[in-house]
Amino acid sequence: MKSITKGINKMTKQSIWVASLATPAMIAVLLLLLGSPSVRANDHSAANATVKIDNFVFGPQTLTVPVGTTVTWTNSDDIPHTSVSTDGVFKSKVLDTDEKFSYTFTKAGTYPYYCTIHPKMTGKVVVQ
Amino acid sequence: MHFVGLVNVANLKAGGMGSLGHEQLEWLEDDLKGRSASTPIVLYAHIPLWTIYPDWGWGTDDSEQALSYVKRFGSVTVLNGHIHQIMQKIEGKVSFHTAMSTAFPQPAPGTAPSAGPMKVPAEQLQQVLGITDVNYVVSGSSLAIVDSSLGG
Repeated sequence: MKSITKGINKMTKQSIWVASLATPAMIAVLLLLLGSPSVRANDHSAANATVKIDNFVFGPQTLTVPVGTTVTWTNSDDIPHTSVSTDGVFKSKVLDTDEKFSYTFTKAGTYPYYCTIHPKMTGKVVVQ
Repeated sequence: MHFVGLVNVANLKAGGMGSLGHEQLEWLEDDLKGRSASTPIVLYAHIPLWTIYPDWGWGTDDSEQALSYVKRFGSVTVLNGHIHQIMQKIEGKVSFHTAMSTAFPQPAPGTAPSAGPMKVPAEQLQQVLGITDVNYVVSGSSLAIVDSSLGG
């Protein structure tokens, strides 16, 4: 009996030993698997994009980006402007010179926008 | 005299110019109804109520309708701003006048890549900034003459 108990104890100790090795290894593999998607996103190098507002113009007037991109508008003009989606998707506050506004596009589509103070200023973000 | 302040800088549409909007136009029509045609009318609006330069948004998309409501009056004065320079126009009995700014001048239509603030030599600045005074002067030429047919 004693020998069987000893045997079981030995086995249990071994399984604990194996388990304690396996778990960190499994965690490491999991982390590796979870880590790689973000590595791929950086390879796109389009996680961020910019639109420069200057001389009453959004530049570039049409910006094409992949889904998940954060677009940042910077007002480099002498006077205030806004960046407002014509379909109510996003709306910046009034941007003074050097102020910025960002929006992350999570869905594919075409997003026309304009400056609500100077409505002749129009632009478009195409998300693919 | 009858003074009317109009707002044409709210709810602007992409690609458009100034806008009065349907509700305000209806209000204006109602406000002017029944007033004697010899009442001098003064209209105020920030963006010019006549088309000066569409590329820069210098005009009001639906001002024609507003101007049709004042057409019957003998004396109409339209006072506007927005373009930071003086421009004047007379159309029948309606005279339009824009004022200078006290902050910065803007270029004449089409003379610069954009309507942005115009830089001038420091010693010239005071000449391109200013205010407009409007005075009611009784003189031979300031009477409102209104013709109406017997048919009404």
